[in-house]
Amino acid sequence: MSELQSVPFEILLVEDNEDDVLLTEEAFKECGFALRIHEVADGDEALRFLRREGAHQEAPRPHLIILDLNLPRKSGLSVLKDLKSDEKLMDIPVVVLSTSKMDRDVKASYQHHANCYIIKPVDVSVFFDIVKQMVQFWFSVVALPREQ
Amino acid sequence: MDNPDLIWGILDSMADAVFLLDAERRILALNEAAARRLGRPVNELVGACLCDVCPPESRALRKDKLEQVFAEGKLVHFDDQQAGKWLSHSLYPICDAAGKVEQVLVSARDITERKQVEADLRKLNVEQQFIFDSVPAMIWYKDIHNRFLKVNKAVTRSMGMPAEAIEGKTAYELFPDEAEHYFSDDQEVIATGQPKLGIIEQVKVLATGEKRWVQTDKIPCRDEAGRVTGLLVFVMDITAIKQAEEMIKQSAEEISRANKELEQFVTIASHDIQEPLRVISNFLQLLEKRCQDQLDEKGKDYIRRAVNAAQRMQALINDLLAYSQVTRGESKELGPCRLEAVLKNAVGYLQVAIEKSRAIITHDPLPVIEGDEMQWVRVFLNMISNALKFCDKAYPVIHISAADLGQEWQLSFRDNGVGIAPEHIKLLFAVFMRLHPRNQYPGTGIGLAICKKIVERHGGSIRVESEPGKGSTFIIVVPKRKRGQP
Repeated sequence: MSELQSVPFEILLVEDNEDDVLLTEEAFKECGFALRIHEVADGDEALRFLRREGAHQEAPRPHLIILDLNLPRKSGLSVLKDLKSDEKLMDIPVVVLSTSKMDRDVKASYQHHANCYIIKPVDVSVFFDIVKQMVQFWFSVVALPREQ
Repeated sequence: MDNPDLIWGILDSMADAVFLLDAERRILALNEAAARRLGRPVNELVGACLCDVCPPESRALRKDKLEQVFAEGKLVHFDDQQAGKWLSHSLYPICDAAGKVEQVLVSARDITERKQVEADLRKLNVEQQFIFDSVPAMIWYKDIHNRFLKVNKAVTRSMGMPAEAIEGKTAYELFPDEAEHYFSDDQEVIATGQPKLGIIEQVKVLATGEKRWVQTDKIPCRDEAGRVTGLLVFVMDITAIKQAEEMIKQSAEEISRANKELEQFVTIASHDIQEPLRVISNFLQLLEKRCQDQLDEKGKDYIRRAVNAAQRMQALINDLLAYSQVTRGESKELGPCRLEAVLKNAVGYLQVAIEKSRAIITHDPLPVIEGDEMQWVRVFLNMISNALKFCDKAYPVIHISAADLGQEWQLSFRDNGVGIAPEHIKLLFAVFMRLHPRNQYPGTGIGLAICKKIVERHGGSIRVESEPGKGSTFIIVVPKRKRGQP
């Protein structure tokens, strides 16, 4: 655990597939950081969470958003677009975590200012490793903006 | 001119047989030709009765003709055939002051040759008319004033009128509404003196009123001075061909649509199948991790096999998807494709495997071809990764070369791998064909099938030359320009 970590890191996971959510939770558990995972199953709810609307009035501001592209109703790309055009939300780093290897999805995500794109590996242990690296990267390597 | 000797001298020089008869049909005088015709000397014939010296076959004919001329006192003209010869006779009456026929001048001309020519001409006409009328296409001759001069049977059938009703009439009289429209093509031919061929148009059949598609050729007819005096028009009904073309077009559209649907289906199906497969694979692995201590070796083995199978299934589906997507690549625009860059790309993807196996990869200068770059990367990737994989030597050695075959390039991928037995070569490019057990060499067996499909989409071909233990050379021949383009 990082010495500088006084509060747990808040992560918003936007993923509609229950099994993938479970898998990702397990992966986070192995990271060795104090993490609080918030889960929403679609894009509209993610925006409500971030804007603290409706049921999410007490929601904390996440340090990191993990976004799947394949979401019902509102696509991940569309959520990304909204996030990165909202002044109050655009500074939260967004990691796109998707099974899609397609060039056009990768390019589109970066064009909409995703902070990075991770292709979900097929192998579970590799996946766990990647999640660990990702968490380490964002929470002990990079500097994050402080919330005013 | 009253000199009979002179007159008969002249008559003797003529080819026609001439003799003078009196009212008793006695020969008063005759010329050499007549004597020759009758087969006796002149002096024997003078004074003889014509009927006695003429060939028996013609005696009857002459008799009544002679009667006629003596009776009517008018010129009589007839033809008769004697011993294979045709003769044309003129009987000229010479009358006295009272108008009674005193003498008759008979002249006979050999017209055998003429008759033969006439017979030949008739025969030719019959033949020509037969051809003219047998041709299923419509043929007609027109003059420069839009008048029909001659039409064949097909025309009479199409117009529902006999030839006599059409020949001599103008187009304006026969079909006033369309006459001007058709005449404009005629006028072009008349004006330029050049034939106008292959005019495809839709016309209304006069007899039935139905519309048919036809192909028309208009050819100018010229007189001896070279002036255009009329047109020969040839019209062929191509309605059946047009309908066939339409059907082909529709079929092609249907096939294209079906293919698109199939592609979409394959893409969606594979995606939907991949998802639960992932879950199976992932959670089995999680299970193994979580229950490590509770599982014995057998238990762990079972889980491993299940995970393996799920992953193989994922690979199979990915490969099937890739294979089906090669078709879609065809509709993408083909552009110049630098194979050196393609090679570099492929080697880049395989960097780790290349370093691990310490492979040596060399190449000759590679050309620029017209193709889909991504697909060619796939081909090179497959060729090289196979060479790396199927190697039982200390390290793989791969060489890629290119030879100019004129209209095509020949690319060769030579390796020092395990080689392929001759009986396996023909199976090599089949989908999912594997030649080795899975635990010896992994892979779904679709790589070469994909390569073959890509190469063939570019109009090329792929083959292999190989011997077990002596490595393999894969030879790809690909046209420099896509077929059908200059």
